[in-house]
Amino acid sequence: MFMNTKSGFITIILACLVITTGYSQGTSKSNFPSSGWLSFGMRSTLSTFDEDGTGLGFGGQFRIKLSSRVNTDWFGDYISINVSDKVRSEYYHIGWSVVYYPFEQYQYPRLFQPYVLAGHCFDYNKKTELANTANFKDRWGSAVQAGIGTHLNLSEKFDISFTCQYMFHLTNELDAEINGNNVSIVEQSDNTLQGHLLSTISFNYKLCRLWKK
Amino acid sequence: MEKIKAILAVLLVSILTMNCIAQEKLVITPGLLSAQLTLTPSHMFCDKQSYIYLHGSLEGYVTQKLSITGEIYFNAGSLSKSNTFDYNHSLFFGSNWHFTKVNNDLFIGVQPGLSLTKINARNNNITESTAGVNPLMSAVVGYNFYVNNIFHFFLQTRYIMGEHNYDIHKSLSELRLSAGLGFNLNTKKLF
Repeated sequence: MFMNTKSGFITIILACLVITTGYSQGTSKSNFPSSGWLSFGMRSTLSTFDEDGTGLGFGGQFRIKLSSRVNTDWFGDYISINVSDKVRSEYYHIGWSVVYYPFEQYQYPRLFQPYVLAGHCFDYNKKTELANTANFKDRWGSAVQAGIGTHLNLSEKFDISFTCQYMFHLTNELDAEINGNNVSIVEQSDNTLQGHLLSTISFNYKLCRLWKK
Repeated sequence: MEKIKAILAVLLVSILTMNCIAQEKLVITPGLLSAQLTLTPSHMFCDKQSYIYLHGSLEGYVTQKLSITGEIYFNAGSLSKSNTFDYNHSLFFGSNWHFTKVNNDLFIGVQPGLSLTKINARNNNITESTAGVNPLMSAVVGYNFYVNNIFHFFLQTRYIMGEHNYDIHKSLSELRLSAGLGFNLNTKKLF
């Protein structure tokens, strides 16, 4: 009986229009511009799965966002590791990573924005005996790193990022050989691929847009 | 008649009081700049010692719930005669997340930092010691009450993690407590 009335027919047509319009709208995109942003921040890093042991680091980074899907991260940090209370192992890293966002819809105002990253850095290691600072060795080298992470977009311009990446050292490592109170620091002769797992928390603020496209 | 007057008076006072509560001015807004300077006692877990710091901080509220902060601790002395460290100055930078209700502000934060430390050579039985820079990580929880646009009361507890890796290895794990009166300024009203 409903279908036979003119008003019922019009109601059904309108209902269909509303429903299909809802579907065609898809996921609403943020109006916040996504590319060209320059952001600065600071970071703290936990180094694990290193032959030396576990260490804590401090550093900074700046980011240049190329598009809604691709970002670049330019970083520097300093990590200090205590080796059996006898040796201090210090790492300095300066490098860069490309950050790729696999899910374009996950950006501000969404809270979590996952990403994968990979890059390269220059890596300096110095190992020093604590009780005798004249007993030290150092080496320069390079490394590659790759991993995953996520931004926590707390506001339009501020985010906290969590990253977990493994860094492979492309160089001969230094070893601290400890035998009682005797400490010797030697360079490994074979170049087996070694590295460490770096878990980083960073705080970033978008300062300005370098371009407006 | 007297009863009616009493009821009217009570009603009038109630209305005025409710109006006062409704009009309490919100101080915690984006653009709020907050600065603090105080003396901070601490408990260092290795060797179970206490140190005193001059603690200064500068915090800017990005939104009502989020702020960016920088804090500095200058080691002003020790409560122990056989102190492990000659000095342990530190600097932190990070963000705080705020749970606000009117001008009450409970916050938590995570702040990485750096410390400049030097072991006391005599108390640690070594001939001499060198100063060194060490990375730190800290977690902070605190409470602010904003009295008005100029002053606020603050209370803050910070737990610090780190290691001193020069001369002798020592843990820098420490608990610090700060409290006092701070100054605040709403920068958006200036421009």
